[in-house]
Amino acid sequence: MHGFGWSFYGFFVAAAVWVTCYFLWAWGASRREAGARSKRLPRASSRGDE
Amino acid sequence: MSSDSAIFTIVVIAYILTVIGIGLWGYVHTETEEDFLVAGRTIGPWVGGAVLAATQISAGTFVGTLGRHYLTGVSWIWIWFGVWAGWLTSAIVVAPKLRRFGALTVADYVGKRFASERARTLAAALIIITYTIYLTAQFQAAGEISMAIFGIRPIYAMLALIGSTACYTLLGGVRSSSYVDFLQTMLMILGLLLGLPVVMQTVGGIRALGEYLGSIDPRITGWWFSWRDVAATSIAFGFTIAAAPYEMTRYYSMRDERTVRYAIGISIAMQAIIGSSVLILGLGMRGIFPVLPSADQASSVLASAVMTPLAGSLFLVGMISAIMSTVNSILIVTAGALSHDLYGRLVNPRATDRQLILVNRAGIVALGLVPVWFALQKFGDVQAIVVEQSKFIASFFFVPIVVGLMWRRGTREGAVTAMGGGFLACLVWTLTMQASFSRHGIDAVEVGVAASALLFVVVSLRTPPTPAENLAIFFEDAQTASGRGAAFGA
Repeated sequence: MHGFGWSFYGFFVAAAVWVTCYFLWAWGASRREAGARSKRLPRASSRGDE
Repeated sequence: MSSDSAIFTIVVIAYILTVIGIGLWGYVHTETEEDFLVAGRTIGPWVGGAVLAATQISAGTFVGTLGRHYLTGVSWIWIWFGVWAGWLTSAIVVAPKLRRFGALTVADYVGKRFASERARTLAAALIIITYTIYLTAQFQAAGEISMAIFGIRPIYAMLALIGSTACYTLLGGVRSSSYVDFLQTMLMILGLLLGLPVVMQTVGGIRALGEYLGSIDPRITGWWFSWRDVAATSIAFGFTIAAAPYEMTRYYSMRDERTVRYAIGISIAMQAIIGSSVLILGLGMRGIFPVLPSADQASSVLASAVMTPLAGSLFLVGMISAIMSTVNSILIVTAGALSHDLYGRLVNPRATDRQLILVNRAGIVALGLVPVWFALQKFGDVQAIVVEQSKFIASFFFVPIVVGLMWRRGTREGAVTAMGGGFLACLVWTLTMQASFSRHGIDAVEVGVAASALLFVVVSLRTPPTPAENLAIFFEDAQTASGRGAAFGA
């Protein structure tokens, strides 16, 4: 029996995990940025920044 | 003309007309240099993700990688994680700061970050030189495909490729290129997905295929390459992707940092679909045709002898799209370096937007024609040329860009030395020690990046810091930190 092993099937699992983790990180980073921006905005506006 | 040829001709003509139509639409909407080089910074995450995938996926993937799976089996697939590690580095370190900076070219970043016109000029010149080599591989692949499938002389295929690609690139710049890239990525995925059921049906399913290939050579279904081979190649691709100018230029065209972050994720997902499909098709072709004259012919034979005429035509259009999208991205970045960074800064600093766009368009034609000559000489196979140029890009760009965005103490002298030294170290290792790579396991890219990093740190620490006003946009606390000397972190 010399069929496909974990080097084949493992790739699909690992790729799915990678993509999922990436989007969780991206979503979290966007939330953190939005939070930081909303805290900074009143102070920045008073300085004339964007 | 046979019915198969007629179907292919119709599909290709429809494809080229659509591409040129999008180019004309982009031309109408392009007025300023910012429109031309960064699409007015209006690209969203889905189109942006497809753009990044289209620039990443090239002739090397459809011809070289599919052939590599055909010949060596499964284990090559794991190099994708090196590619995606490069994308992750880019998403965390490079993309947010570059997009916030909002320049037009990568050399713009180098010039601003290190407060040096010399560093900017060197970066622009190195981009033009190394990407000319990369273009050579794309033209060579187009020539080989046309010769293998249609018996057309490579020179005609190369001229048709440069003609059609330059047409939509110089008409609408990045705006039309982005929408064409989106179309091309969809065609690549469609072409590959259409091939999967045909191949699986022919070989009797994935389990039967695995057992058959394992009986030919167990390494095909297991590990043909050692983990060291896979890791070395992964690292090379990772370094390259993390600081690839033709990808970074596209970040500038997206709406904001958040858009870039999601676009990179969408691009990785698309690459996973494409990479998985290429793996299965390469393995399937080994099951159907165990002995082809050349592994690089696997994709052409798949399209012409295994798939139905319509599906095969779409697969071939996907292959052409992969080549065109990469050629297009390279022309954008090299012509931008020529017009914006060399002509606009050195030759005619008072150039108007109209003059810069004119020089850019002339550059697209000139820089597109030069590699045709090199491609006709056939200095190496397609995959080898792609790998070699990526090593050089990583060797001179990874440190000034990635480390330069993390370490505020990096100076212009450090950057110039790192770029020149990394390039030379990679070149010398390639010409001398690379031949015994499999014995000592050290690749030219690792030597190039290590030399570049060492020179960057040593020379930077011995030269005056970059002015705080140049660092402010890249390091939030640069104003207060610039006087502290060598501090790490943003």
